Formats: sequence, structure tokens, C-alpha cells
Amino acid sequence: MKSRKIRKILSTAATYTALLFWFICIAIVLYVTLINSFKTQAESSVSFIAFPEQFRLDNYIEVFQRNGFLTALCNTAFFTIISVIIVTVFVPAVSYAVNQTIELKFSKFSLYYITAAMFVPFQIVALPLAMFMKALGLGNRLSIIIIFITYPLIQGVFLCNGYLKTIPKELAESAYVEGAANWQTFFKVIYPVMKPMTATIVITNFLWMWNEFLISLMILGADKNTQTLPLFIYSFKGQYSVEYNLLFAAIVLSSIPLTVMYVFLQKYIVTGLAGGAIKG
Amino acid sequence: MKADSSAFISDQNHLGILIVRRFCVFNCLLLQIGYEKVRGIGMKKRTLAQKKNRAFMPVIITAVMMYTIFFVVPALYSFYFSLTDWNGYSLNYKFVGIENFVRVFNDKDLINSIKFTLIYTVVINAATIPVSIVLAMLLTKEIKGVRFFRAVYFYPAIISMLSLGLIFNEIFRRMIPSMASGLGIRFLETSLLSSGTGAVIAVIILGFWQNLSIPTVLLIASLQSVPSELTEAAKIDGAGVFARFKVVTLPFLTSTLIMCLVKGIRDALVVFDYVVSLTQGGPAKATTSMGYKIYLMGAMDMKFAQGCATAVILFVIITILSFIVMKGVGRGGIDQQ
Repeated sequence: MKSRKIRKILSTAATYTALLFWFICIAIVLYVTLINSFKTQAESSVSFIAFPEQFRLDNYIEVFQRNGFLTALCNTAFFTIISVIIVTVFVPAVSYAVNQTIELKFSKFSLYYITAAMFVPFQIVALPLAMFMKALGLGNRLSIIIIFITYPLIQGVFLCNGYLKTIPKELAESAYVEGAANWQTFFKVIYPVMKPMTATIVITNFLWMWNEFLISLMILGADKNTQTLPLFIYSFKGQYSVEYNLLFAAIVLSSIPLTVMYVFLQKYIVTGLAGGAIKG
Repeated sequence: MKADSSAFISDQNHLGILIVRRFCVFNCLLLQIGYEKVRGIGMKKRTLAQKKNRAFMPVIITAVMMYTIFFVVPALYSFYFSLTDWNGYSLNYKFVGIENFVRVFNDKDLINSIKFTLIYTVVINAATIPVSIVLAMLLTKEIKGVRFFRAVYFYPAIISMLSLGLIFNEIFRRMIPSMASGLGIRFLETSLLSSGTGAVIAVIILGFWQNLSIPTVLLIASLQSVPSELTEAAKIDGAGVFARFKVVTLPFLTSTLIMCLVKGIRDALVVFDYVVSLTQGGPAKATTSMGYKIYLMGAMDMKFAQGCATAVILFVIITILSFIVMKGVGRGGIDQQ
């Protein structure tokens, strides 16, 4: 009896040690970033991990005053929010349309055709795509938004299609019998049922769009007016490579929106991402 | 660092315009065929199914069109340009067959970058998957503070890869050496990023730090789907921790593990952000990943065609590896459909 108790205590202690170890590994990186964003460079060069004498906001103020930060923030927010709103409706709608007309050869073909790209790396389209977008002359903003709407289709249609299969057919049919039109049925009956999957799609794509770097780099290039946050941070690093305190402040500022979202919506974000895995 | 001046993003892109025009005609044809099919249905008295088709087809066609224009066609052009000698902005180019592939495989830099990418992929996945299983098992124990740990453990997935690369760059370049010299630890005094092997290790550390989050969360979710009666029963039968894991738990994790592995392999093979921000491919090109190499060739070095050829090679590698994982590891497992 006693030995079992001791073993239990030991195993709990081991669990906590392991968990704490990785916790410290994560925390130290975040701590260093945060603490150095409040320091002057002189303070940082004395010690990277010590507390500053006082928490100055000078670095943050300077980042705000630097050309381009606010523009970059607005651009990122604009691209992300517009695209996520469209994706939220578009991807489930496409999946539902395919699901309802699956007897048609064209629908079946579309389903396989779109989801076939699941494992195709972005790099293979990157070079011609950038050239294409320039040649189409849609302008930087529209180009980015179009890409942000198109690419979530690949995984989104796959996930939604899996989810739609679990919804009983009678649900849509009863709505038809009651006289609802096709799209009415979708928005009034099916779309609410698809909420968990829609949440997954919104979350994964929001994270992806907010942090997306390669596509923005290829399409937007050096255009200051349409710069996004990752591009701003990247150029920041190039211009002021010695001023790492400012860099840290810029990084902290740029990740505040997602962090706030994470703190408040953590439960949804984690279950949303996990949902994609289980249903997929 | 130069984030600008990509060759084909310049205005002298006549060839691009030409190709796009030719391509637009093709798309209009496709669109017409699609809509005619819908209209054709509208002639007779419509049944319910036909009404449905009429309502839904435009949406499907729109999606297929967008996907075709902005994904499939660029991908096909990648294959096409890999067989030409186009440099990205000139007006003329000619068909050279597989010359690019031959050249690319004789290029020492590229062989190195393939090597680095494969090493990174293997190490990252070999490290994250087992560790995330362990962490997920610890995080499903009923102890105090588990929710807090879960919340923190997932946080790295939220931060952008680019920012993390820059943060780790400062940590490896300044923080660790200055701390090591303060503490008198000799071998850490020179920055990890200053030697080739060190830089590879640094990229792997960064990748591990961030890529542990998502598999852990996914595995927690699937561990919770394991019926507790089964583990209890195995416990009563006297199965040890490892036996219980192997016989009872693992079959429930198989499909999640495959998914994590496939996604992990794909993400690792296209690694770009980490390399750009942490090492810029250096020192001495030791950490130039294939993803970064493609970008450099296409956007910087005016080797558009060779960049496309490299992309094709990357595509082939990813397809083969994903296929092996799905076929080879994908046997057995309770929750497979």
C-alpha cells in the first residue's frame, strides 16, 4: 500500500518536472523577447535576461513613429479580415454545392480536382504565380486577397466534405419539403450545423494569413504602401539590424492581436484545430 | 538583405502578359462549357435534382476556375518553364529539355541544399513526434495546472515563424555567447550560427521549439478518445506502462500520427521562413533549404527556369515521402476509415 503511494507521488513529481522543463524552454524565449523590448541597447548588452531599471516604452513609441508600421498593421488586418470573411462563407458553400450535386460527373471531378493539391508545396507555384499576378495587373491588394481566398479551398473543401458526410441527408431534404430554396436551405439549416468545421477553417486560415510571409514577399515585394506586418519586420531587420531592442518591440507589437485572440478564444482555437485533425 | 527587386516583378514582363492573355481565352472557353451545361438543363421541365444543379453549379464553377487560374496553371507553368532556359524577364526563351535538371544535379550548392532539407526534415520529425506523444500523455493526466500547461504549450504555434527566427537569431548570436562568457563556459562562447553544423543545429532547435505545439494538441485530442475502460482493463490484467501504450493506446493514435507526420514532412521540406530570418542560408550556404533556394534562383539570381526545376524536384520528393508514409505507416489502427 505504502509503496504504491510513494510511486504515485514520484510519478506526479516526474510529470511536473517534465512539464516544467518544457514550460521554461518556452517561457524563456518569450521572456527574453518581452523584457528586451523595454530595455535600451546599453542595458541589453550588459545582460540579456536581467530586468531593466525601469520599464520604458521608448522602443514601442519609436516603432510606431517609424515609417510603415501603422500601414503594415492596417494592411495585414485588412487582407486577413476581408479574406477570412469571404472564406468563412465561400468554402462551406462550395463544399455544400459539391456535396449536393455529387451525382454529376463535374461535381465529383471538382472534388477530387481541388483536394488533389493537398500535398503540393506552395513553392511549385510560387515563381509563376508571382509573374502571373503582375501580368494580370490586378494590383497588389486584390492579388493577395484572391490568393488568400483560393488557397484555403484546397484543405477547406476536403475538411468540409468529410464533415458534410456525417450530417444526415434528411436534414436538407426536410427543408426542401418545407419549400426552402437551395441556398436558403444551406444558410438556414446546414451552415449552422457546420459551425465546428467553419470555426476550424476560420482559425487555421486566420493564423496563416496573419503570419504569411512567402506569398507576401513574392507578390508585394518592396511596395511600401501594401506592406504586411511580416514584411515590415523583415525590412526592419535589414535596415536597423543593430537595434535589436526595436526589433523585439516590433515583434511584440505585431503579435499582440493574435495573442489577445488566443487568450480569449483559446478553447475554440485549440478545439478548432484539433477538430480539423479528428474529422479529417 | 534585399526583399525587393525580383526580376519578374519588374514592369518589363511582356512574356508574362502574353502567356496570361493566351490563357484567359482558354478559361473563357471552360467557363462557357460549364454554364452551357447548366443552361441546357433549364430547357425542359425541371426536376428537383436539376433545380439543384442549376443553383449549385455556378458556385462550383467559380471555385474550380479560381483554383485553376491561381493554382493549377502556375503549377503547370512551373513544370513547363523547368524545361526552358527562361531567365525571368527576357522576351525570348527556348526549349532545352531536361538540361536544367542535369545542371541542377551537377550544382554542388543544390545538392547541399537538398541534403540540408532532408536532414532537417528527418531530424525534426524524428524528434517532434515521439516527444509530442510523451507530452500529450503527460498533459492528459489528471493533475493540477494541466490546463495552464496546455495553454502555454500551444502558444508557440500562434507566433509567426519569421518573428521567431529573428528572436532566435538574437538569442543565438548575442544572448547565449554573452551568458556563456559570463559563466565561463568555453564551448558556447562562439555563436552557434558561425559554423555550418552549428547553424543547422540552430535551425533544428528553432523548428523543434515551434513545431512541437500542434502535434501535441492533436494527440491530446485523440488520446482523450481512448476509452478509459480499455486502459483500466489492461491495467488489471497486469500490463505495464509500455505494453499498455503499445497495445491499447497506439492503435487509437495511428491516424492522427500519420496526419502529423505527413503535415510535418511537408512543412519541413518547404522550410523557408526560419532559414530566411535565422541564418539567411548561411554560413557558407550550409542552411540554404530548397524552399529558400527556389526563391533565390527565381527572384534574385535570374535563374527562373532552374528555380522551377528545383521546385519540380521538391514536388517529387514530397509526393514520394507522403506516399511512403501513407502506405507504409498507414496500416492498422482502429480509427481509420
